Amino acid sequence: MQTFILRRTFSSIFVLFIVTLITFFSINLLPGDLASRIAGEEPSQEQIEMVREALGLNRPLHVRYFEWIGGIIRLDLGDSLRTQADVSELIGRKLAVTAELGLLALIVAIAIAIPVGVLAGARPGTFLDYGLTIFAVGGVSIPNFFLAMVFIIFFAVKLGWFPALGTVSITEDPLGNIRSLVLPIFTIGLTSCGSMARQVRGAMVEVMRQDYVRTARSKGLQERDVILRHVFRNALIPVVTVLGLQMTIIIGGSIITETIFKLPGMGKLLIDSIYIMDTPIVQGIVLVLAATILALNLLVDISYAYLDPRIRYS
Amino acid sequence: MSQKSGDSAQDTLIDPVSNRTSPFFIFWRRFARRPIGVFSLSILSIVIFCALLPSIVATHDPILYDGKAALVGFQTDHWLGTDNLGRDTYSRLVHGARTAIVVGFASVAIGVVGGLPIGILAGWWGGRRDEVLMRLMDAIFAFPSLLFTLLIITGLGPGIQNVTIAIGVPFIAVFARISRGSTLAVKQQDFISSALSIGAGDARIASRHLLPNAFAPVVVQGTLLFGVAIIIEASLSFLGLGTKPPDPSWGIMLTTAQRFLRQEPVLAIIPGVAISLTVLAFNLIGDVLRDLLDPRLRGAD
Repeated sequence: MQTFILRRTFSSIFVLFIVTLITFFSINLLPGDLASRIAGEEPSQEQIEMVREALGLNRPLHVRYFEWIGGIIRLDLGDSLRTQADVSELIGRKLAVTAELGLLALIVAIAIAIPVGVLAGARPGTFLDYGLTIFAVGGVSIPNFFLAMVFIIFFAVKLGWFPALGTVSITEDPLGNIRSLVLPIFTIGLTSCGSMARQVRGAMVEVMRQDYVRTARSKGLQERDVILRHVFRNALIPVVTVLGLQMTIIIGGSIITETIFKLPGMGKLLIDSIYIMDTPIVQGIVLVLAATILALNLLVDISYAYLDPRIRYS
Repeated sequence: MSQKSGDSAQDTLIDPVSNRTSPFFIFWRRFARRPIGVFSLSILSIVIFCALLPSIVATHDPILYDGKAALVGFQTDHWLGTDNLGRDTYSRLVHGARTAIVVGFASVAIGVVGGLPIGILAGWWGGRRDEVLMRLMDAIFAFPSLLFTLLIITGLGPGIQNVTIAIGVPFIAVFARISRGSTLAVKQQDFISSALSIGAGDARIASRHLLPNAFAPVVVQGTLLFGVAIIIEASLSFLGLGTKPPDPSWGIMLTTAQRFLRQEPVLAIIPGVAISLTVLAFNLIGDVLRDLLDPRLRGAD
């Protein structure tokens, strides 16, 4: 088990290294001419040169990459191009909103996906099973920003149950904070739970075919006990693996959802920084989000190997 | 089905149109028995027809301002109403279909053209080269697809062409993974070793044996990713990073609608439903194709 964890951790660190390469060079090497876009509308050649000089964009690319990497190791992500604010600090302030949103959305997604998936998987081919398929495919077909608008139209404008935009700090007004996050949470949770429910259903169907389930039935166990005691437990193991994928979907979904609901999280900061070409912030946020996903996937893999010993030796 | 079309001399003797045992005909008959497949195909036919010939289907110029006709609601001249600048919603919807379909098609093409060779060669070579290529693909998977796309947009700048590239590049990793899987699945089989024994080179084996084998999963995944691409294009245009106004795009229609959610919610509902229905159709067809083309998954439902 220890060798497995060690091997998996090294492999994640290696992937993280490639992630830094991709992040840095996508922004700085692609032929988009950063300096001229930062310089504003129809800049003169002199202005472009001035921007290059001032931001250090005229220095060799590899030097700038290693400076960035050196900073990352000291948890220093550089300074904003526009405001000179410290990027790590800026991200740190936005982290809480995104983390709260992501965590609650994950809980909502799991709370819907597991019961629905189990019921559909226990009775494949029934009305409920058919309904799940429609729901799951619908979930990946409706863009989350459209779902967000539908929520705003019905629950904020028509019914007035929840605020349409913005949020308040959880320390100032905990109830108001949760209330303002309900619509964003369900936007992300609902668009992401379909694929998970399908995974649970698939795992259930797979386990139901096993010999030990037939044995359990033939010894006269009630169907309910067969499902709860034998099928459900074993079906949960493969479901753990989709948690990693789920987090990826949720983090991706939070970028647009935060922008629509004007929530001061990392996603909104990312989009705002792309508009004004504040590349150190963009690089920093992309790196933090990608590293979070890598770390979560590492945790998922380790817990999977813990639950299913066959994985460790493959 | 994919293997059949690739190997035997028998196939060439069968006229695919008149003979009722041709693989295409058999496939079509099985497809036509799926009401979901037929339903989705009809929706897609309409959308693709709009994309090909928007000026015939549309009733107005999609970017023509008409101050007198702003937000008129449903009426005979503008049967889906107009936006705040008096532009005909129906015509903008029709022209927006073109943006969606073109971006979807082009980005999936980028993914297939880039990903298939990588995946097939990685699977065929194995060893260290396989390891390096696949870790590189893993790194792409570490990004949520929207994040990776945003990264490329930051580098290249906004605009519809750049958006297409930015959507297509992460798809390369998806197709590489799939075609590697299908390559590994047949690598050890007898027909590969017999091809090797009669002196077939890497290129011949890849194109004659490994590529046809990847056909089914690639078609299925391509259909599903077409829908994903349409959603990402709409998202980026919605954020102001894709199609530039006043050009019509479903995402931009939603940006406009966002300002009028109180007065005119229907402005948001129309393009939103268009996106959802189109993507739904791609997803449902992808599912039907998976059932029909991939025998391993048959009977799983």
